Amino acid sequence: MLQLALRTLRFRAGIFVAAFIAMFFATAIMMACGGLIETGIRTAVPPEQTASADIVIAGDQEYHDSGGDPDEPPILPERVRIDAGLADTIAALPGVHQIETFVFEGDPPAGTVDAIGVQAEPGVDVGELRERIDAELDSRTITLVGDERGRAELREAMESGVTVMALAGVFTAFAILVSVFGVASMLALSIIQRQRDLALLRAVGATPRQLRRLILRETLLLSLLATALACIPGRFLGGFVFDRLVAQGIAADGVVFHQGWIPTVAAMVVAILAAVAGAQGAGRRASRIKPTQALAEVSVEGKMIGAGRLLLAMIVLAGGTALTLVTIVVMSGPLTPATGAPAVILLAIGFALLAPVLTKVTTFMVQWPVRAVGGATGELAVLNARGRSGRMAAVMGPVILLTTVSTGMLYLQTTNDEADRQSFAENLVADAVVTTEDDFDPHLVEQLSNLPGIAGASEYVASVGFIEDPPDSSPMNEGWTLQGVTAEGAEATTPVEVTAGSLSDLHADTIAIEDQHGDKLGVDIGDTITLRMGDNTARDVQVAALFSAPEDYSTLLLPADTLAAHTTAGTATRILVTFDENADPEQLVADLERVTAGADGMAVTGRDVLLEEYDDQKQTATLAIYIMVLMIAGYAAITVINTLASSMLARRREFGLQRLAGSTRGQVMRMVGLEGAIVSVSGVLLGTAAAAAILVPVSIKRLDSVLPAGSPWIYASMAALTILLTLGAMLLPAWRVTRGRPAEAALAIE
Amino acid sequence: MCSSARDDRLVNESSGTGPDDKRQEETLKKSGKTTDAVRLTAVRKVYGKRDSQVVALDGVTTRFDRGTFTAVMGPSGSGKSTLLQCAAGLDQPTTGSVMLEEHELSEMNETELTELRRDRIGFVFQAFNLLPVLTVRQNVTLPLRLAGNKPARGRVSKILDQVGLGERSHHRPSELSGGQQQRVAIARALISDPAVVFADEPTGALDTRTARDILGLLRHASQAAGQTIVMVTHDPVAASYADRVLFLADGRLAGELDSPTPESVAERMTHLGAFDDDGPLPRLEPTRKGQR
Ligand SMILES: Nc1ncnc2c1ncn2[C@@H]1O[C@H](COP(=O)(O)OP(=O)(O)O)[C@@H](O)[C@H]1O
Ligand SMILES: [Mg+2]
Repeated sequence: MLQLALRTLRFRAGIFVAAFIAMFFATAIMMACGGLIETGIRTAVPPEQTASADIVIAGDQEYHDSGGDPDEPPILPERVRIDAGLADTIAALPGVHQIETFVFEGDPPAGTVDAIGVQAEPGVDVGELRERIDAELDSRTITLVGDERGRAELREAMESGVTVMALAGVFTAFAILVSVFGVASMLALSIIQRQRDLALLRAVGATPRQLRRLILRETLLLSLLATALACIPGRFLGGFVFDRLVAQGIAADGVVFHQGWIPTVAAMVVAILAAVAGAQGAGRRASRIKPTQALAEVSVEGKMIGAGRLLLAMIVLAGGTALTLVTIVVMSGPLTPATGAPAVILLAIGFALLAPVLTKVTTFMVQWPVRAVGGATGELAVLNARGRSGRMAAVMGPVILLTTVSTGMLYLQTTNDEADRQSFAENLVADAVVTTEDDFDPHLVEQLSNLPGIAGASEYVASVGFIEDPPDSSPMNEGWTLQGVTAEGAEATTPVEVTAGSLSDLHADTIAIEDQHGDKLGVDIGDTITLRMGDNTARDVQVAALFSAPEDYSTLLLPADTLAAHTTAGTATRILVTFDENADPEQLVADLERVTAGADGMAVTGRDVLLEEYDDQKQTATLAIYIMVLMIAGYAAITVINTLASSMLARRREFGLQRLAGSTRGQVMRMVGLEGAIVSVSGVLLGTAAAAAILVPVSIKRLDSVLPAGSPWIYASMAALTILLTLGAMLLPAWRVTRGRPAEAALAIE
Repeated sequence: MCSSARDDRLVNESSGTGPDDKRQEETLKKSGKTTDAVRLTAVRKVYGKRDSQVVALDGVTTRFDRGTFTAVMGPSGSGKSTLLQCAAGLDQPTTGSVMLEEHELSEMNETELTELRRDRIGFVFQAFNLLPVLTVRQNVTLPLRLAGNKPARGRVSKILDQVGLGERSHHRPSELSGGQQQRVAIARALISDPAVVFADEPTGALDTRTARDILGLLRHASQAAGQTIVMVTHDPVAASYADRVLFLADGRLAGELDSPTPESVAERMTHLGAFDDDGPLPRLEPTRKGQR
């Protein structure tokens, strides 16, 4: 049996090319993702300033008490500083040769530093010394050695590590899904193409089980070869993608890419397992082949759709629907792709699984135009499409996948971006922003708000924090947005409606929160809340006001100077200004410029600057989605080409016979072209239906519109590309196989 | 091409007794039955669902004796292939019983049938007999290896020599002529020393000379090695190589002829009026039993 598998792979390589390429690319992608994950886990940053230290003591940038997944603690947005007094304690420890204190950014509050570098005495074991140091540290201070040391300098490294890992994890999941599906559909095709061989095997004594094993062995051999070869691109792809991520600012510059043997081997194992999983269906199909089919002149199509496939389709569609619901409920922000993208993929796969049934419907629908255009040739094309619905379904699967994934994911992104931007713009009440490079004159805010035509002005500080007491799981444990405001100008520059207390009481250790949030926490005006600030210090604040705000606001308001003390910058660098309703904005901006002209480094801009900043931040997420779509669409495109091309090559004999019967080569090509039209139009229709299954509800929920946001050209170009690709993948090989003399082709062994 | 030297080789090499005698003894011990290798009783085969039913076999009862060579004849669509497939366990009859040696085929599941096929039954089809990716030798030994047995080198070479392909054992089917391919198929059918070899129009795609070689090989297998052969054909000359001819029409037995000659077969065919050489178109009407 092994020999048969080997020889089949060797002499009928053609029918396996598709499955091979699918495995090859999936493995390479998984290896690259594995490399990205390893890079994220290590987050190795070779130290620069701290290079001479054996051990670096720094603040822990991870917040471990969020109550969320302990393996994925939120990363704090501000520099977590450490007690400068620690230096003396450490210096006194045995084995410490020398210490040095570091400040990497901002202006640390008195008595704090950013890091302490420890040089061990010669001959002292660094590991043991580290243990001695750790014993002196509190839970918010950590020690770093080796390539971790650079993390103290490059604070973004940790955050970028988490992002890179999250991205790579999602990519990997997709690669596995697409790979299982791709391998399954391509093996299914290879079974249809050598039905007669398999039937003959059954006739001369292969049991159904032996056929299943044969398919499994072929797949195993193929996947071993594919995964081994994938190591070559797999090595470079990861580094290449990482460099792109660095270039786009998603990964921090300074983090070193690492891809050891573990991701490589793991990717190979996963790819092989995925291939084997994909081979299960094909094996079952093969084992159902009847020995009498060896005798049949024309291969007879089996049942339209197996119960197993139907069940699987239902499960996958149910999963897709469930994820769609989650996406609609969770909706906002960077989390949307986390559920939205798999929902799209599952819906696509569900539709592709149902392709044998759906194909009948769409072929029925498009038959009239095809007949009208093609005449007798069109008739033949329709008959072919109908008579071979199994083969049609196999080639349709990837077309559906390509359409759904590309349009679904892109429009999901544009729709959510648009909705997020709308709500951001709604929450942004200010009309102008005054920026400074260092510090504001303490009276400037008051001065500005007293100008004629100005409704209010407020300092603006932004950070992220957590509520520790009363216990509160913030949205997704990612923390609350903290905004620092000037008490007098807060009402005019925020979108909130005060329902109790007053924003003008926001001084010193106070806070204003949403009234519903207050209810949930059981706090009222005058009660105390313990906050964990962005720099990992705790602060007790008293509730000064309750307000109602638009949906998605999730912001806590604090006095600007209170919050600024817990940011890396240490001071507010922005003032938001709101104009009176009927004031002339240009005139007011000119007024502002005149007032601020005296001070150095100050600038006045419209509110656009905040929107632009918002868009810039968004770009990171958007780019990640584009990479993802590109990868999956590229993969699906390869699958489409593969599947179609190999199904065309397998029809060499049929085309030969047709030409012997009097068709010209042109007529054969026209028939293939029309079949291509049926496949691509049907596939695009079904793919669009699958994408609509998630896009319509999401658009209704988020934009109050049936249609998603984003340019219709995305759809038009995706559909056109899919159709062109399909036609090309059918016509080119068909042209190739009809090149010789028809008699030769007609007699060829299939 | 079947010299007498080869005749000797066809007899089982190891023991003094011929394989036929041995099998017969075993069978007698097991079942107490006598000389038939295959016995069909009231076999009926209906294809298709309710509104498009075709009765391919309509109550066929017959037997194929051990060591005999039987030709099955009949017009196209008369159920010859169906009869062969049911008798060989490739397909299950709708009703009726098929006994192969002591095995009742209708009581066996797919795996048991498969195992029986590879041990006790050989096949030669009209075309597409061989796996294109395997060499001649690998094709021939396929049934043995599917059964998990290692083919004895000497035996494979002997069989290939018998069919005159000793030199070609490492070629692939695409490098052989049609006649050579059929000879490989015969070698494969004989390799497991089966109880019965079924052949469905094995010479249908061959020229007269090549066809005669193949028929000679089959007759030789039955006469010299005591193999039971059942062959479907519609060529009177081919049928004359057999010991007995069974005529089939509309899924029913339509007569028998012992010790046929081409002339007697042709005469019986015209007598039956079922078909001439050019043949009327397949008479499908009477076999279609419409919905009731
Ligand atoms: N798989 C099948 N499905 C439906 N009808 C079949 C099938 N195989 C054979 N038949 C029908 O059964 C009848 C007998 O066929 P067959 O045994 O192949 O005839 P023969 O070999 O004598 O030409 C024919 O009418 C044929 O159309
Ligand atoms: Mg037949």
